[in-house]
This record gives sequence, C-alpha cells and structure tokens, in this order.
Amino acid sequence: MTKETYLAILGERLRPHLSEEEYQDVMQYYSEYFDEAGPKREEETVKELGTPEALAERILGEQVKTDSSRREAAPEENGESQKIGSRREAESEENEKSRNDRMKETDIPQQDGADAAQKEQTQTAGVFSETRAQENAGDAPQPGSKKNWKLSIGWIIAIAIIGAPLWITLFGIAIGLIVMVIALLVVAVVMAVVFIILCTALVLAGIWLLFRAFANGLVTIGAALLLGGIGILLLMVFAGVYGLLKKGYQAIRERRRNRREENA
Amino acid sequence: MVFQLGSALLDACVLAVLDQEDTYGYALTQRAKEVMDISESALYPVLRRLQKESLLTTYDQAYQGRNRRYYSITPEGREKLKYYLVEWGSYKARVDGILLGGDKR
Repeated sequence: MTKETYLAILGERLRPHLSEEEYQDVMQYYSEYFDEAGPKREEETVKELGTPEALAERILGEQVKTDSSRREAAPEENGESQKIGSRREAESEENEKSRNDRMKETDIPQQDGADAAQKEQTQTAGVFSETRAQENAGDAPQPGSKKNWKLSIGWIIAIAIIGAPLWITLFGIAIGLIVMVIALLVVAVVMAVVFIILCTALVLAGIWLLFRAFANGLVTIGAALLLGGIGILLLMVFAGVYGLLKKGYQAIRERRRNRREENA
Repeated sequence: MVFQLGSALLDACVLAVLDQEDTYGYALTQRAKEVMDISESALYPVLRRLQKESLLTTYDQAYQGRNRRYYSITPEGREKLKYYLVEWGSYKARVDGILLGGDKR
C-alpha cells in the first residue's frame, strides 16, 4: 500500500465524523508522518501504523473521549443529551481520579473554548461513542467497562420486570410451602400435647370406670391409649422433620463457611 | 514491554519530552518508542487531546520544501507536568515499596 492509498482510505473513514478543522489536522499529521519516514520506508510505515481502518477507529474513539470531556466545560444547551454527556464525563473523571490516586488535587486549569463546529461534531460522534468506547476499552479502560456494567444491570432489571409473573408466582409458592410446613409442625406439636394429656386423663378415668362398668372402662382405656399412641407418633414425626430441617440448615452454613475460607 | 502504560503516564511522557524542546510528530513518536511500547498511531490522539486541553500548542515550520508541524508545551502544560511528576514520584515510591519489600503499610 502506498502513502496515497493509505491516506485516502483513512480520510474516507474519518471524513463523515470529523469537523473540517479536525479532519485537516489528522490528515496533515499522517501525511507529514509519511514524509518524515521517507518514501523508502513507505511500506514499513504502513505496517507500523496498522490498517487505515483500525487507525481511523482509534482516532475516532479518542475523539469521542476528548469531546465528552469538552462537553462538561461547555454551557448547558441541549438539555437531555447534554446531561447524559456530562454525567458520563463525571464518571470517567471519577475513574481517572481514583486511578491517578486521590492525593493532592492540584487544580489544573481546563480550557474552555468549544467552538460551534466541534460541538456539532460531538453530537454526530456521540452516536458512535457507545461502540467506540467499548472497542477502545482494551487500550483505555475508562468509560467503556463501566458502561458495559451499567448495560448489564439494565438487562437484569428488564428481565426481572418481564419475568415478574413467573418469579412472583414461584416466590409465592415457596413462601406458601414454608409457611405450610411450619404450620403443620406447630399443629402436630399442639395435637400431640393435647392427645397425650387426654390420654392420661382418659386412662385415669378408665381405671375408675373399671370398677363401675368393666366393659366401659376397658373401652375408655383402649381409646385413651390409642390417642396417646397417635400423640407420640406425631411427636416423633415432628422431631424427625425438625431434625431434617436443622441438618439442612447446618449443611448450608457449613458450605458457606467453607467457601468463605476458600476465598480468604 | 511487560508493563502497560496508562494514558496519564503517556501524557506525562509527552509533556516531559516537549519540556526539553519543541519537536514534531514523527520525532516525538520515535522518542516515545524508546521507553514505551506504543503503536505508532497511538500518539496522534494523545497530541490532539493535549492540544485541546491547551497543554501544548503547535506551529508550522517549512522544512525541505514541505511543512513540519512542531509541538510546543504551554505554561499550563508545564503546570500539569509538575503535577504529574509529583504524582509519579509518590506512585513510584509505593510500587517500589511493594516490589522491593521494605515498609508495609
């Protein structure tokens, strides 16, 4: 590839996205760059610069970044997009600050002189900012990664809302089941206690009846023992279920503790 | 090069080179390549950004019948460079503290 073809492709890629002034600046820089390298090193220079397409991408990516930092300095003009811009900028500034360490914050004067052409450029380039920032995330880990993260949060929320009927139902069923198990356990215990009390009372009554009407007494004692048996059975069921739940809970805690230890 | 250069450090290096003398894009790139593993194309956006932030200015000079654009550091650029040098000093000290052992904070 010759210098001319390289610059032609580069220019073609950049032209729609840059203001005249910026476009001229880039083209001059790389034209000069080729000249400095010399016509003999043309092929080599092309190799060093990478493909013109990739170079254009990189320049535009950087462009968007600097433009957005400009936008903060620019006066409020176009409400909505302006706000988004400065918020995005605030984030990247925050990143930068934490990256640069929060030591002394020597106030570096930021120039404020955005001309209309550049601002217009900002808006057109803004469309590309999403993809560009992501593509550039590799060599400049600033706004891209954070934006990605935000995007996925948005998705999670969207899925949560769309899936609401499903997960609300499942959640309800789960709570219902838990409440039911607890209620059954409570009922079992209460019934067991009542049955055992009734059992002792009826056995005593049966023994007393034995002397009055023998058959009646036997029936009463039999019924009482039956009740007692059911009561003991209920208690055993309760103990069994309770033990199972306790074991499950402990297993979960154990696993969590193990994981924490592994992490630590 | 094993260690990656963040954009702030790249800015600092460019400003430091320009603090020595005005120079043009190609020479600056060659100079930067001595210490950094930057691709040749990576410098233009940096220069452009620094220019937009008024940390450096440009002027054109004829050279062998064509134009050479020189980059020159501004007073603001010097201020920023000073700030970078302070930051770099403390950063380097902390990295050394970990890499070379010694005081653990």
